[in-house]
Amino acid sequence: MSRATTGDLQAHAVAMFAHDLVTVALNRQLHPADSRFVTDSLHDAVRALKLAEAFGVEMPLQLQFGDDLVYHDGAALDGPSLQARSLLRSCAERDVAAMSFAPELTADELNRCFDLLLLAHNRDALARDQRDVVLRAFGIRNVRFLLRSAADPADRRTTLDAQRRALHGYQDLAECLQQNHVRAHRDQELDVDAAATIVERTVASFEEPSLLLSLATQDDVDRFTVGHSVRVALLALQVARELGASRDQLVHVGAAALMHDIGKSKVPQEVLFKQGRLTEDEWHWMAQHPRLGAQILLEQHHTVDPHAIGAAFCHHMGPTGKGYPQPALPVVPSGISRLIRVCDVFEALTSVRPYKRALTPVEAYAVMFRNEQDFDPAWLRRFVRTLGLFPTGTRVQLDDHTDAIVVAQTGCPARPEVRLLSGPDGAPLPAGHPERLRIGDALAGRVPRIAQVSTHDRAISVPEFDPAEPEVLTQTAHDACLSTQMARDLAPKPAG
Amino acid sequence: MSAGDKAQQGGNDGFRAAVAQWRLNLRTEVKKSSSLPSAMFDACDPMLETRLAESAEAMLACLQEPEDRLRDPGDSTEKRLERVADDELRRLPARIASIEVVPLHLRTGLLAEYLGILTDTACVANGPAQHGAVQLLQRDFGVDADSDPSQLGTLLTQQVQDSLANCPDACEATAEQIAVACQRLGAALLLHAPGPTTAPGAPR
Repeated sequence: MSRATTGDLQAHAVAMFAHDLVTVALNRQLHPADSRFVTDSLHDAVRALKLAEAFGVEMPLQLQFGDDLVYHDGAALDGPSLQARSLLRSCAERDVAAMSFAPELTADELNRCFDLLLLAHNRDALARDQRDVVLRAFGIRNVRFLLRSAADPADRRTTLDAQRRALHGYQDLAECLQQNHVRAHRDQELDVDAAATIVERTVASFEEPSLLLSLATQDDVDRFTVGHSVRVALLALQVARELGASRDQLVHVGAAALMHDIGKSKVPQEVLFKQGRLTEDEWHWMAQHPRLGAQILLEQHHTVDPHAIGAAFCHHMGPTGKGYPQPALPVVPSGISRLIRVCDVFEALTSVRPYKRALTPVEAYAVMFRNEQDFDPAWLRRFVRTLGLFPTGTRVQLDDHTDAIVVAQTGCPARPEVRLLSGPDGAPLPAGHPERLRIGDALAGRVPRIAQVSTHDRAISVPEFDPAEPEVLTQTAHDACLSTQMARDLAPKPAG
Repeated sequence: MSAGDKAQQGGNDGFRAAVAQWRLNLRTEVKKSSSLPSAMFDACDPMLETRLAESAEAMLACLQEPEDRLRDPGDSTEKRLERVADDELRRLPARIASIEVVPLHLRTGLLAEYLGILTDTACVANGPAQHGAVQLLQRDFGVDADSDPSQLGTLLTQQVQDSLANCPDACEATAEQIAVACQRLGAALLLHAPGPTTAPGAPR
């Protein structure tokens, strides 16, 4: 058995443990410390720790906490870090640079650790002069806290590369949404302005949306479906930007997409995260989340953007208003709501859930076209053309068994530009061979096509497409679209 | 070491051995059925490794929590996967190409949608949301409760919307104005109707 296999298993187990710690921290914000949700996530964490031990991870398992990332053995754990902002902040406030977990750790003991980490009145409990006494008093024997000066310093790069900026952008969006879901859950006033500000910042630094999106696929901490909402927002922003939307419009789109599932904060968690089939009553609860979302936004003292109210209410409606909820008067979804519906379904199909595996994007499109009447066809078309049948970042294999990764879209959804990772049949790329090529363009006397596409856990064969190649959206049509849009935006708003 | 600790240690050892054996068996089986040259197969294949890792986890869960499986044997851990036929994939570009290219506007229908949601909230919700919706209906759309037969509003809205949807020559702005007018009428009628409206599909 190769070492890579063991290493992968170990890395997976460590990431799972870190994910579970983040989930505990999020659950502790939402629920009492002895609630079932907290208890379940604590047990998950303990199990993950034992799994790591079983796979031969060095024990005690030490995680380091930097300013914006969780590390293990010096390596950043990007996925678990995406929603770790509040946990990292708590660690920073208490000067905790690292924690070591012995495999004998119990769920109760871990819960007491979180008391020390999260409760405001325990903020100084881990000070060096009294730490040992406090840990004894709390009955914590299997966790060691290493304070900042006593541990290896976490990676503190001062210059931010694109990857790091994307990480920060994602963490900002996720934390803002998380906080708003918690506020909605507790019937508190939402911080709608913060959401708009953060979306505005994201829009301003949206240089490389595919980077942010590919990072987003690593986020599987799913309290209130925060990861889902952030990904929907990023998808919607990408399509709206491609459409030529102004900065203001992008902010409207991003904020509306980010908050579209806010109503789920009112759905009982047992229903929201149930893995089996929903009962009729549970389904009724779930079906109310769009209406509940709109109501939450309308309860705010500040006037909330109608785009966000519309997206919350209409994101399960087809273009003619069919779907749910069933309003008192027929409602036909707006352009933004139609776009967000497409993004919402695509994201749900292409992501992993506790009860289902992820489809590849091209399969997701096929499923969506199977139920074409559920979507505005024009928005669905625009979505596919923006992302492509093989979105940027997708791992593919060409028909000569060359491994490649999609690096850009070209205007033809089936013909992206790819970077070659190997030569034919997986052999090394021959010297002088171009590293990038556009699918469909002849190379060395043959026209390569994509024959296989893979996600992180499965690969599917892609048949040869029927020859009807879609036309590229003409500049005239694009300009017409933009000019009408601008004219509408500049027109005075209708009075009541 | 306590008896419990020893039992746990024993369990861990047994688990390690079982996982190691299982991984070896699986890898051998996959290798036997693969047409790849041995050297190529032995190169680290991330897909295979991921599958191995997942299956190992599932096995661990099974070993560590057998009682959970026994309690709910019908709740399989096998994750659902939507099936897509080759034919559906093959036709995809052609289907996309067949969709008519029309200009898209983010704000299309926004006002009518907003008014419809305010009406729904005013009729269905209670507390601050309802109060807020009623205020916004009055402030932004001049809607108040001074009409009757509530069903007429619903019917009229639906009929006009259907007609507009089937009329390709209707200019979009006109369509939206009419839709807003219908929503205002419907909202006024519903607000005037005695008693609260029960939303279809409300939680019981």
